[in-house]
Amino acid sequence: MTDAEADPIVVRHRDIRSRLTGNGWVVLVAALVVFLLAINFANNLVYLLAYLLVSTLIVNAIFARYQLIGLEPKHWSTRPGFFGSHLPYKLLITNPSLSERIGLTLRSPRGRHQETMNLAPGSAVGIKIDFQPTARGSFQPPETRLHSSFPFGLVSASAACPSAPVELVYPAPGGSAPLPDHNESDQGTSSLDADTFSDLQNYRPGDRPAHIAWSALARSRQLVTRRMENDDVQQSQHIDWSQISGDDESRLSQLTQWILRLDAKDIPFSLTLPGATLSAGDGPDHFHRSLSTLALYGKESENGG
Amino acid sequence: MADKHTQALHAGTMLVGIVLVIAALPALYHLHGVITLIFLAALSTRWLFRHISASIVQHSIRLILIVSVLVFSYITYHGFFNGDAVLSFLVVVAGLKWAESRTRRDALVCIFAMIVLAAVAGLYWQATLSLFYLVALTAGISLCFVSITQSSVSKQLNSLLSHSLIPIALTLPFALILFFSIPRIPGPIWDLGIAFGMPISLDAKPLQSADIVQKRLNLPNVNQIKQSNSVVLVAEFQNNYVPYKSRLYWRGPVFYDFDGTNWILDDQLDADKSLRKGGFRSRAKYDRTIAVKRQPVKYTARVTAHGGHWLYALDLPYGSFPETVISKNLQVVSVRPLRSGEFKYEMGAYLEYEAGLSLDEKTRKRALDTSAFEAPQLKTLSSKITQSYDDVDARLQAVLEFFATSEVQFVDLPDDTVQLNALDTAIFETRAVNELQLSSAFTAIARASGIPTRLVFGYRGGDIIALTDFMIVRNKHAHVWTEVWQPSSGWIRYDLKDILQPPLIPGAKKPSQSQKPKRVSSDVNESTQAQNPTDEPSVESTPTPEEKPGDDSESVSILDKVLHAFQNLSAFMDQWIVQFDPDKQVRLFEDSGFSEVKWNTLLIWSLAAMFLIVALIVAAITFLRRPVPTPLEKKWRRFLRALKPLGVTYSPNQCPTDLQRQIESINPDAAVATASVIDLYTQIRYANEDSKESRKNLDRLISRFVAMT
Repeated sequence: MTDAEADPIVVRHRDIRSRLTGNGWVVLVAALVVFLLAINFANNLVYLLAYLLVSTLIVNAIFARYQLIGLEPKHWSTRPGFFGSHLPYKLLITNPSLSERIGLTLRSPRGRHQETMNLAPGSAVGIKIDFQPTARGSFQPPETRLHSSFPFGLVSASAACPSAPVELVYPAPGGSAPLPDHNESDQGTSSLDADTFSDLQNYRPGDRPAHIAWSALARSRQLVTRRMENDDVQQSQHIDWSQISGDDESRLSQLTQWILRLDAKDIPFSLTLPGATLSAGDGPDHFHRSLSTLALYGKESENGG
Repeated sequence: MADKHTQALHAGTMLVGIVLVIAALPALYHLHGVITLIFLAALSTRWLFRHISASIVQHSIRLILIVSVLVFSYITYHGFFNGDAVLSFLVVVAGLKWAESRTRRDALVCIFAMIVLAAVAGLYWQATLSLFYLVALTAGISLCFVSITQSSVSKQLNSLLSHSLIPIALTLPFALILFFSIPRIPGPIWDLGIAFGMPISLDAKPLQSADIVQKRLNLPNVNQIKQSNSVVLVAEFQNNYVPYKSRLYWRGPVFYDFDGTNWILDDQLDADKSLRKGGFRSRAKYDRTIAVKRQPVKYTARVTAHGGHWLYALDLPYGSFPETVISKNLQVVSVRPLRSGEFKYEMGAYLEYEAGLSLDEKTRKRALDTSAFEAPQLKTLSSKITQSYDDVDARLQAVLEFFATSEVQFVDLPDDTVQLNALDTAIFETRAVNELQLSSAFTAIARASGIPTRLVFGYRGGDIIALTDFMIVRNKHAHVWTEVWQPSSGWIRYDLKDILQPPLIPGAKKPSQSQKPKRVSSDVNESTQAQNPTDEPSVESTPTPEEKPGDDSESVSILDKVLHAFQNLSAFMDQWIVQFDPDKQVRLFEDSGFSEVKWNTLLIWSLAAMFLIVALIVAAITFLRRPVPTPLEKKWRRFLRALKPLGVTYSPNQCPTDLQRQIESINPDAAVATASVIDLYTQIRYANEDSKESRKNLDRLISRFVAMT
């Protein structure tokens, strides 16, 4: 998870750009057609209709701008994702003014806006946007803008948001090769699936939440975790680039798949890539370090996306 | 989440449906009742198809409805490609589209159909009430846009209204500014093409207006010409000067002879050869006939074929052009009659003139002949004028005064079953005349008073193509005016239409007798008025039903006031919006102090007014969003104001403790009192010791300190 504190920015008039939306263009064309109709028939009521349509665009432009002015986009939060899935970003925006701001969305050329939010006076809200990375590695989201087209949705006002932080895109998990040195198959059960709980031990940072004994917590008011029967006998697993055949991306995908499986089973693992070796370990930090190594393999110097 | 979204969209779609029905009402009223039934059937499929899941059945029902409307339109409106057939199809398709709408895009398609229907409503229903309808409908369409495009706004009507009422209301001032200030371009659109010389025929089927008037000039003929919208000529003025339309008289045939029903041309005088033979051969000779010439203009004109020789040149013409002659009646005529195609010529004109310095005896006799006028009342009037005044000019003045003070109203297209032999009836009874009746009546009185008078047929004004120097003259601009011979000046134009009083605005009170201009004494006129069964009693003298004794006068009076206010508003709207035209636009700006109203003036002021409104809106929003101090801040500011007389100045970001130190150094006597205030304020503001009691205490301490200072 990445949290990025952006420089404090207040949206001002000069930061805002207004554009006709698709609907706005259609209304403009409709107004033009109605105007020509009015000329042709010298009809004042049709003239008035044409001007009312144009006025709707003008009023929309004014109000849409005022939905953004004075807002303070402050804080991005995001977390890494796998290639092929969306990277979720969230921008915290505060509204220090005394009026509600309506219809706020985040938009970006490669983003998929998730929701349209209203912002009550004096409140803050996190607005989400998902990005679809085009490659693994470091992903720098393109320029993201805060939009509002309130009230009529015909003119959209937008202001540039602070740059979203770079996030890692792990390789997409894939491949069906079994873990080395284990006789397991995707369909069948293996020793890795045969874990059973034995006794309780005090909670240590890094223990999986699923192993916490909640009933014991209720009785003793102490945080304890269940210990796995094979914890004592479990040995670390080594996974190696050379154990897989194929091109680089499919190897990375297979390694990612193995890491996910091993992490799910809490099995410590070590990783060897050409030019990089990670010693055995487990837990969230080791998990992310391993996947980051895979994500940046061969492209540390590149910017993702 | 998805359910919530679907519900919101459904609510928005229902609103779209309601507004769609409202938008379709004028069209449905105009179309055949069967179309209404098909439209309602189309709408009802939204509910019907919930019970019929088979898509083949659904498609079949839709197809049946579409085929029904096509077949019915074809039978009723005689084809697929006429206005009513297309409108029928649009209405039914819009209904079907709404019925099947499930997505936002579907709803938007319906909204755009509404815009088209609203425009059609404006075409079919031109009244003040339709103005209110159109504004309300546009508000409804805007509301639909809010409902469909703003997913974060609740679709409850009260929520929609609370969010969008102000923006919708603000569209009106912008629209009115655009309405009044955008330069008007007279239609139809293809006029622009005609004006700029595009290969568009001026008229595919030109009206042979000259043939019509050449035979005889009477009421049905003039009505027939005025009802035609076909183009007579296109003029392009030079030197970037387009004169006022009302000053432009496009001169055609000149009439002396009246047979009791028709004005007729002298065959010999206006026949092909004599027309040319009688023309001016040299410019010098022509110039000698012009006594006064002012306001010259130059222009090029393209005249459509109309069957005659007249080129309808601007009155009074000067200059020469190949294959044209200025006749002795001061018309520009072509050497060949215009039977087909167009004739283009370049000419000049003096808009103010006095011309024709001699009048031979034969022409004088014709210009004084009243034998065919069967108008005893008019003749009686003229004999009274003749007895009252010896001087011809005074007689002329008296005749003009009679028309100026009469209650005769101008009507564009009068009942043409009334012939010109019923001038007495038109002037003294029906009191509704067009230019031909008016000019004929004037000619009758003037001639009977010994003033030589003749009639001219032509066109007055035209449609100015905005932003250009072009003017299009159509048959609807057909006009008849009179010319009076005055020995000192020659033939002088008198257009009686300009002398009549303007028509009364509907709903306005008639002027009382005492308010009217002094009338030429005329027993005939007065006795006719007294006997006139069509005379309406004056508003003042006749009690309205509401004023009858025994009525609930108070309640009726309020209703009466409301109705009267509505009538006034309607009359105002009718005059300034429904009947607004380019002339009124120019007058409006002239009355507002603009000496010269051009299209760029209009556009500049339009933009300026729009910016002003935007500035007002921005100011209003900024004012409404200004930071409002909290009650605690208000108390603190009151305390700070009280410090000023003590010589303590406070900077906005100064710490209260620092302020206390400052006070101790500047005014130690006050420091004891301020310390308690500042301590308590600091506790409430920063130490989270806010309570009702502590605030009350702070209030008390500040009040005491303010009282001390």
